[in-house]
Amino acid sequence: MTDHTASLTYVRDKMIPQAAPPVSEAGVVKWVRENLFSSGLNVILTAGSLYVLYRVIASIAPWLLNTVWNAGSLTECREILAANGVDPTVGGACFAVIRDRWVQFIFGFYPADLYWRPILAFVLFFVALAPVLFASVPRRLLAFTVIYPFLAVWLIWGGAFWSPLLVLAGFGIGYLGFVLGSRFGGPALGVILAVLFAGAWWLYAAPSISSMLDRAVGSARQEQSMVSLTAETAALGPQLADIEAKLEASDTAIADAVVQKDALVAAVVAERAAPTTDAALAGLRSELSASFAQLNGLRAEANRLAIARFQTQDAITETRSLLTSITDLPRLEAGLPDMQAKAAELRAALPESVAILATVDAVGTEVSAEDKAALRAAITAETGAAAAAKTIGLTYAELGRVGLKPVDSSDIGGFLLAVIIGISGITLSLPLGILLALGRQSHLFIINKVSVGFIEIIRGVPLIVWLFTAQLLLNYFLPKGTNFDLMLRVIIMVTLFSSAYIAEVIRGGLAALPKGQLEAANAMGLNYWQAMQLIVLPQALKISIPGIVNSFIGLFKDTTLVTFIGMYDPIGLVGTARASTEWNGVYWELYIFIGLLFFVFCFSMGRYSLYLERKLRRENR
Amino acid sequence: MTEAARKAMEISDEVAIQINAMNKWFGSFHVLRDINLTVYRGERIVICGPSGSGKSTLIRCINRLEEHQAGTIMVDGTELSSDLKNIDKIRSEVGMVFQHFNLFPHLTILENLTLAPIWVRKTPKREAEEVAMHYLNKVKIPEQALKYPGQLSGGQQQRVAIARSLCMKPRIMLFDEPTSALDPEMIKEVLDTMIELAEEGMTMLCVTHEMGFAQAVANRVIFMDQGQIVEQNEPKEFFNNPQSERTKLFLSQILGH
Repeated sequence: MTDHTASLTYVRDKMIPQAAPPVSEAGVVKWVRENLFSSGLNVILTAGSLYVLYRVIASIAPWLLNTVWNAGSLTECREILAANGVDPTVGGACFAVIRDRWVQFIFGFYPADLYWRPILAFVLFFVALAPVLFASVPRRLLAFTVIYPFLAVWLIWGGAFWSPLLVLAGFGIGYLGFVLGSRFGGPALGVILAVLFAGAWWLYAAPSISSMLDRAVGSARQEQSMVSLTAETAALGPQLADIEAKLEASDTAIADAVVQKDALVAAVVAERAAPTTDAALAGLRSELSASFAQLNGLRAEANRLAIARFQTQDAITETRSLLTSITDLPRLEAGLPDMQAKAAELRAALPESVAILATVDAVGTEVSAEDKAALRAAITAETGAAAAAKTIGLTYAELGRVGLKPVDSSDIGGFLLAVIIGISGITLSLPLGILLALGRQSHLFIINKVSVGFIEIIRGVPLIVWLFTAQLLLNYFLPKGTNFDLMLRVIIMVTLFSSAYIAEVIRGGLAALPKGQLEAANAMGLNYWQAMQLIVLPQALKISIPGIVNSFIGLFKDTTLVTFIGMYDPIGLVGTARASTEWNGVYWELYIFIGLLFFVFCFSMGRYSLYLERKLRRENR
Repeated sequence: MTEAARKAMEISDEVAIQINAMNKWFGSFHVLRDINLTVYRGERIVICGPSGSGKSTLIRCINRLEEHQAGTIMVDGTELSSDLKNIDKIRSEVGMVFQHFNLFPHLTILENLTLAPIWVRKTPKREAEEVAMHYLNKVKIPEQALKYPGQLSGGQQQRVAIARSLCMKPRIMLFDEPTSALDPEMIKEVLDTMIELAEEGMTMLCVTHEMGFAQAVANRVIFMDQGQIVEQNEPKEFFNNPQSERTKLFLSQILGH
């Protein structure tokens, strides 16, 4: 054996300074080598992907680059493309349809002179959202967040200014019920009383208070309204005539411009067939483009005038009918008690066999013709009295409204509709989802089973089925006479649907939380709700953020399904646009536009969720 | 030990906890069998025994983290029943320290300490923070007040957990293997804190395998096996002269290395 010790002993006498890595290990070269060409297979994959990418871009880019923005119809789009010498097999996009219709895609059939209301509501939405999303915003703004829903509903649907206040007051009444109930019988009685108080307020007290206010203001204004309405009707006639004259002039101008345009198109085509000079074709084409721009300007003006005419006609009809109603009012009011008494009398006098029936259709053959006739008379009298009472109420509501012009739900469409349903669904389904998730974790048998059943049933049935249920069935389950707005029913269904998914996502978060957290909270004397609110939910929700935002994005995109129950969301409006003679045949452009708008919304939500995750991770670990 | 501490550690004859013929089952498994135990105010009791012997379950029954099915438990004269009001009252009087600390990771140390005083005792925030800083000083980590639990070492976290319980000014403290999840180096800092607490006269029930701690501060050691109290005695007698064969075996196993 040799002595190893001598060869193993080593002492460094000079330290090595840092040196730059070899070229192949730094910068672009290293990145390309590692990420694109690290092995033979990867070289093939990279080349293949680049080729696919090239083919996709090569087939779409020319179509996009040939986009026509300035045209009044698809035919004109094609004329322009032909004049520009675009190869018909390549074609060009006709985004002129978006330029023509985008307002409708945003607002649906919302009255054009009231666009400021949804816009204001949308802007205020971000003000209301800021304190929820960002911790740096002052907490005091949360008060605005609380009143925002009522403000937004009022802005979008209009109506008297006291109706949102009356709805808001219902929460106060409910709270009062809760306080009273908990004082005299514990929290369970409190919750029951709160629901009863608030329900009674919203269903019975608030509507009658509202109509009382209408009546008070209405009768005070009656005289003055008569005068101003008469003056208005007088002024509206000439105004309409003026608009119609302008519209006629505009139509002539458009016809002239079309003739000029057609001549230019023919000239360009001729020039193409037998070219003279380069300058000549270029000159003709710029003339043609100017002609299209002029034609579009004229059409936009004509469009505006047509809308104005429609609105003026509408205003005339409205003022006239209101005037008639006001004139009729004393007669109706005087006659109403008699009508009601008469109806009651007829009803009381009915023979026993038909006494409680509400239609003649249901009467069987065993009932005599006289009894049938008596029933028919009674029903006619009742309907008449009810109609008179309704007319009186409506007239006073119209006369006495201090607030915004009401807008019907069926006029709301496009992205406005998608955003309304999406945002309401999102904000309402989160708290409901949390409650369901807690219910599913609960040891209380009934609560647990109800939550599980609800979640499983809602999740197991397609959303479209629930939407049809909302459209067709929901009214059967509500008290007779309540006519629930279709949009409200859809919002309820979408909320329930989404809350089932959110409940499952949050249940995952709850399950991921160590059991010791709840034990520690309990051991410190926190009660169930405190422990949930302060300890369990903040942590469980943090874990669930990606899943929750995922559900929200899904919900927002699912709003497009309402098109199948006859609401005009953006997809539904595609049908409207294509049904017009101008744009029959356009579809890619419309769907691209809708896709882009949805993408912007959903992408922003996804980005916010990433921001939130990063921020919370930084705070806690 | 100072004279003052010796005085504070004197045991009064006021009963703090009274457990009578208490039985508990997990499903069909009889986990606690006929437990009878009286704890006087100022007592420091160490409970030891092999794993699965029911020692943790016993102290978890005292603040109703586990429910017992037979017998009675009286804490500070209030009987533990399913009445939620009694449970919340007892829980706010009884502090508990867990093996895995169970600090709230989404709250700062200070917020961890002030949470229960503010929400349960309705103490004003400023006052609660003063109390919290007092106890953080006591466990010698006031400088960590604004950090999150994840930024602290295990020993520091356990001291925070003790301080968190103390902020509720409890009359009884329960310790459920407070040092079992700690590195040897950190065990000492936690035990020091507990010894200090004992010297101030706190009534303590402590499930632990730290026999040094038992000898230093306990006035009674309870040995449990198979859900029953097998032997209890004062530490000196317990360690030097165990009576039951089971105790002897257990002691030889934990002290034999």
